Amino acid sequence: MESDPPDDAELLRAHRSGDAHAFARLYDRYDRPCFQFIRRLLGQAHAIAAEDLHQETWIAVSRNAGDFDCGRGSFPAWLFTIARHKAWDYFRRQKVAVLTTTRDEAAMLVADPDPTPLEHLESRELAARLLSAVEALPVAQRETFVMFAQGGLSLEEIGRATGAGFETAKSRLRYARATLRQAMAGERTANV
Amino acid sequence: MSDADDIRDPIDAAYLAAEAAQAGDDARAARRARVLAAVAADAAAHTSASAPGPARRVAWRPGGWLAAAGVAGLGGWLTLQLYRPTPARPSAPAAAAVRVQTAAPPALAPTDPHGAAAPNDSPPTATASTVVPPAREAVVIASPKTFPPEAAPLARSLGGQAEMAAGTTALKSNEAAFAADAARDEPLDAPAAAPPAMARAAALGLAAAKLADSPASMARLQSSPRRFRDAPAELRAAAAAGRIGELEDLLAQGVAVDAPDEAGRTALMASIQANRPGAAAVLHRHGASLDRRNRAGVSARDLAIEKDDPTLNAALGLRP
Repeated sequence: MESDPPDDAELLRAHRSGDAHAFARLYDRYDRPCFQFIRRLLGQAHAIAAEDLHQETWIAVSRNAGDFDCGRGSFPAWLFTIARHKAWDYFRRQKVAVLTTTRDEAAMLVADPDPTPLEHLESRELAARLLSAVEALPVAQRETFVMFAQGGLSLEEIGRATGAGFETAKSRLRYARATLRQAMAGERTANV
Repeated sequence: MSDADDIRDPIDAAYLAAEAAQAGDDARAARRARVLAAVAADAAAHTSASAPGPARRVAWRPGGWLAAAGVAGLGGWLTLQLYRPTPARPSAPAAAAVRVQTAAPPALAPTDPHGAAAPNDSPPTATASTVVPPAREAVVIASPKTFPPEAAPLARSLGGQAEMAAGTTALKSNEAAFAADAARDEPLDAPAAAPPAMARAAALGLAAAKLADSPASMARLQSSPRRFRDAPAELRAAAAAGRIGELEDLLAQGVAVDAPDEAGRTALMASIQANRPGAAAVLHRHGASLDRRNRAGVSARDLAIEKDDPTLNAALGLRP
């Protein structure tokens, strides 16, 4: 009978004790969501820094592996929190004026709870447009949406990671989805 | 608001599909190799920096401030006894040593290692707020006039430290680096991890005790890369490793963006050679020269043209 694969905390412990393969395994599990989170958070204008911030995030994970406490949250939540700090530090250094809530009110006006048939994205162009729509979200909504959709974090974890709390995270996620639905519904209409 | 927000939505799936459609396996593989290599190099750097091992660290924990001050006092006293420079100025080193001793900083503010939700490479402000030793006293001690000829290199090193303490911004990066090392909870080598006042006290003690009869110690002292940090070298290293945060911090502290190494290589050249477009963009934005040449006569522009990387060219504002 095959044994269960080691969980994230076990891999981090193994990394701390000098097992290089353990870190590589952990990296392989979360490379893609972590990078895509950073990439979307930075947006197109700062995409050039995504690789470096991604690397800095994993170096921070390696250095601070001993600080991870699985009793306080999951590894992805910890990882995304680090990645978020890196991205916000970058914004601060670059003096980037991040779009915060200017589109929240407009998003609230969208009353389209019915899912659009976007599950079957076949066109790379359409995919690119959706990603552009994600990057056009206010940054607080953007990070919440990507953490939830890509990172699989719960709203509770997102609320802690962003310091915004559960209810705010929930609102942001809802607004983000509504805005994306609206954007893609318009896209669909335009393509018909 | 319904709890349905906490479950998956079709737009989430659409987003994941879009990300998957955009992903490039080649880029991912290259990124993987680069990140894992960087992590390994970082771990190795910390391991080597922590040599000769944690056994020595015990003496330098927060309770060791008194020991540091004692070492400084002993060093000053030995300096006074062995190397009294001229009859006209018999008390200068002693007075300076006493002042340095009194400049030993108070214990670091307590920190909660579990206080932050996530680690950040930059240490908490409270732990970094070490006392900067007075520059004038250090200048007196480090003056080459007070040391015999065989101590000139070390004296120059100490003098350099003191000059930086007199107000150059480069010192701030050294102070921050020392303090950052001290604040990290990792098995650091004691002197390397010590805050600046302690490190200088140790250096003074070592200088006084070993100057005359231990060239090996002097050589080790001078060759230690972490004891006397070179901010321009750190800038180049950060550029080559693509550590944008560190790069920005160093530049914000006023480190010369085009400071070359002995081969004439600047940070911008290092970033281009290491294929770090993000770092190159930061340096370019801070005014790094594309046309300054290294000793081989090659400029950053030449290197970029040779690389012929569209991303890099875009970062440097070069036309393909």
